[in-house]
Amino acid sequence: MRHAMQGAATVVEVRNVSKRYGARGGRRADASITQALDRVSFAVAEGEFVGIMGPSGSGKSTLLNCLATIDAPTSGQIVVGGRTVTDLRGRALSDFRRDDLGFVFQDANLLDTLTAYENIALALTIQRVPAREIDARVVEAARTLGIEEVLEKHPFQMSGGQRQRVAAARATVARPRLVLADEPTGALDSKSAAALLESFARLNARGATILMVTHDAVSASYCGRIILIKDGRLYGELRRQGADRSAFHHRIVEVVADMGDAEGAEGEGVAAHAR
Amino acid sequence: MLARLALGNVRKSVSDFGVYFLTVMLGVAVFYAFNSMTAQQGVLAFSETQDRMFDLLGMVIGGVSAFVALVLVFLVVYASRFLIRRRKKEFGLYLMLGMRTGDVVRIVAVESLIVGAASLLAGLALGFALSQLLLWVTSALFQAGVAEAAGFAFVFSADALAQTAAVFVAIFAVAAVLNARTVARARLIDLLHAARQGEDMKLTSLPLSLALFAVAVALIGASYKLLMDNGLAEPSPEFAAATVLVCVGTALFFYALSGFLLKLVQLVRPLYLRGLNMFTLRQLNAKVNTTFASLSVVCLVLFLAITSVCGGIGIRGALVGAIEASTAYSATVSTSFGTYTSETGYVPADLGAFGAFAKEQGYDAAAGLRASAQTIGAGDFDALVEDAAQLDLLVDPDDGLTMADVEEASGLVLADFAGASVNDGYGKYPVHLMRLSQVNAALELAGKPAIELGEGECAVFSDSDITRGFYEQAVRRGASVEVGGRALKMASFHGDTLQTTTMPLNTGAIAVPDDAVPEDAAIVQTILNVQCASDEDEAAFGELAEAVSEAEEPDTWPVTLSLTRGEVLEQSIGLSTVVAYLAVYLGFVLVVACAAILAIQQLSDASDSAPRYGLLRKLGAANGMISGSIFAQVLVYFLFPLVLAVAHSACALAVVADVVAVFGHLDIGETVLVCAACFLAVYGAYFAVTFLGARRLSFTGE
Repeated sequence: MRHAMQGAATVVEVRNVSKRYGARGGRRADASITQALDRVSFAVAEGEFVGIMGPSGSGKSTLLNCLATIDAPTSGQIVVGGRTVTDLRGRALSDFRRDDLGFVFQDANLLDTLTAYENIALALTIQRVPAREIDARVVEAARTLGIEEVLEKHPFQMSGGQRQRVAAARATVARPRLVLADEPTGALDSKSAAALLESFARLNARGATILMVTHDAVSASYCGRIILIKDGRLYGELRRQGADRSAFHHRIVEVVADMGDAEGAEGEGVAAHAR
Repeated sequence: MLARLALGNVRKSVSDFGVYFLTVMLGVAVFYAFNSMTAQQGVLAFSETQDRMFDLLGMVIGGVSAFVALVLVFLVVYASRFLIRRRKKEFGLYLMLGMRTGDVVRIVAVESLIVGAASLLAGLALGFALSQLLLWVTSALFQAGVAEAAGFAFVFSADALAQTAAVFVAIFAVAAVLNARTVARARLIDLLHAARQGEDMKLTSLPLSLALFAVAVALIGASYKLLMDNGLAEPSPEFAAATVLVCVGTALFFYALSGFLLKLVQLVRPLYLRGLNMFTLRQLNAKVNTTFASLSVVCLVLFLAITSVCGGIGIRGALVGAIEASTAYSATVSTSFGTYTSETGYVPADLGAFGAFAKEQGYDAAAGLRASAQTIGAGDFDALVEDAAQLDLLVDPDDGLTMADVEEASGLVLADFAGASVNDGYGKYPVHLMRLSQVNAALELAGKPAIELGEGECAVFSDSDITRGFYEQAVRRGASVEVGGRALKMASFHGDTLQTTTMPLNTGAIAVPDDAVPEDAAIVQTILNVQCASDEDEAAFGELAEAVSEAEEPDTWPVTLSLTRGEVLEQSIGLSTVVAYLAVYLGFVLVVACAAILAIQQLSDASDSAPRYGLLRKLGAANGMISGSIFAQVLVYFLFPLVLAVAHSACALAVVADVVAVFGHLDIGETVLVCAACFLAVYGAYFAVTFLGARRLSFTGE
């Protein structure tokens, strides 16, 4: 696997991450423990657009929360940009979120009191970027995402798709090492969803590293690589490898169907599809 | 079981109950302390007059307390509604788990009982401390010593305690009933989704708020000008207009304030695009529709509180300050023999047989009183009086001197110095003459140095703040006035009060060499100043003068007014102290009310905004940055009403000072500073509780 990413630096490294909910500590054979993540490991190289897929309850949201430092794994390490984020606390943690991460949530999660321009600029002002740089960067991000005309509007005056693209602009304007997107198309109609995903592809082409959680095969087909998770374990991965989007889409649909059938026989299909 | 749940709830959300607790505690403390004031009579050594004053104070405070109780009912209900609103979801959960509405109502009632009882006890403890403080203040103000030998006494009033407890139990009952109704009437779905409500926002156009802000400032400025120009002398259409303008201006000011701040800071890009500044300003702007009304009311109520406290204490200070100067003699007995104005000329008063007796005595007041006292058996004048000096205010009946004459001679206009505190017709008022020998005798009796006049000179006496500046300038210009055909140059000015009086009201009299007094000068008023050897003699002399004044025998001296130093002290200090106490009482309650309203409003806003703060944290804003934004928001809400109220008060007090100048100099001195410090401490405590509470609430949105 490794050799495929040669030449590009590793941005994210997830090492043996487990997450257990329920009783704490080493009480053995406690039935109330839920294993949300079980020794998950993978890496993401700079400039990749990676999708994380899996059925409901597979642990993909837990994984994203751990990456976002909103939740902490029970064991294992997450390294982002050379820093072990699972060891970060307090001030260092909020600095890390501010400087290295960009978020796009399912519902855009914009501040309703601020205009689109201000929502995007907020990511920069929080970083204390000098005011003279802010204007140019906000306008550039807006141009990339095609939302220049809504910059002076408030969220309630925009469509859902526009709101989501503003959120994407906010997530990328500060040039974070990693953009995390949690079901970004979940609340959008298919046209707005396509526009948003094309924006993501454009951002990715300009060098942004994006990690997107989704359960939708169409959304996933925009990615360069798909990591599949089931029952808290790594199920396998799919690479687009230059295939066109609809072909990739078909492969994704097949694998997801397999995943549903492969009860009790996890792991078997992985090798086949990974190659 | 319910009690345990309720106790647990209270313990869990101690800080939610913070504002409620603080408000009830301060309310109880002030209510008890002021209602227990009459109990001080039992501890302090009061004179009879002071006792009467204190009875009056007790009555007035009782009346005002009814109003205060109403304010407190409103506050307690307002504060507990906030708590209920905050916890709708929790109540919804109880109901969903199958608890009966009655049980939830009971939980709320038990919670109120716990918090109410705790704050009532804390408030009473604070109230005891406060009443001790008031005891010392009273003892200093009334110059009455503590009766107990040790100089320390504990003042406690069971009546006030019972009254306070009864009033607050009633208030709690009202609040509990209203809360129970809110909970009982709420539908489960509303309770569970309470947080989703009230998120619609309206936009106000920024250029519009800029224009509105300018209009608001202009309105307030116009109102200040109207008030300054017209004063408070009498109710006038201008005064009504100024009141309306300042109210409308204040409301507009707060309506446009956040938009104005936003626009202003937006112009300075580096400031606007810095940290959470734009978030903070947008937060303020988003709330303007719901908050401007309460901010305006808070500002105007603070204005009332500040003005009444500063005015009340200031007026008392003016009276007391003037008293030293206006009680130079043990007693003064004065008799009016006529009046003079430029319109009516000299009009002798019809004193009948008394007037004839005065003439018979050669207008010698001391001789007249001595003889009269003997006639009616009122006492021995010579035994009581150590020394006496008579001062006659004279007028040339053919061509009396008036204010208009002095203005003409000096080329000055009194209104330029006195502002709005003089009426238009002052020009016709007389400026009396005094014989230099009598003036020097009066000065000597007061232990002051005599004055000397050169050839063709005179001296001006005036003890009123209104006219002082005017005469001083006239003397500096060396103006000359004509007396009996001779021009006399005003050589010096003297502010001495040449009698013992409650209010120094001499707006101008001229001391002239005895030989310059016209032959036919008429006596307008005779003033007899006396010094007694002791306070007992002074009181006895007061009774003597009183007896002569009331005597109906024809052969007695006519007495228009007699005042002893003791009487002046008691009247002025006593009455003004009652006023000052009331002002402080009301002012304190109003400040607590304002601060509590602001605090509750800010806390519920912070609670509504919690998801926004959660998002900011996800975006990587450090806690310090978020605290800074909350601090700025709370500060704007607490500071701007206060600043505008202080501005309003400064204007109003400037006008009040003009009015007070009639009898003394309004000095916003030490006492006011102490009061201001107390008020600021209360306001600051609310600010701190609000900021800490809002910061904690900002963590609930994750």
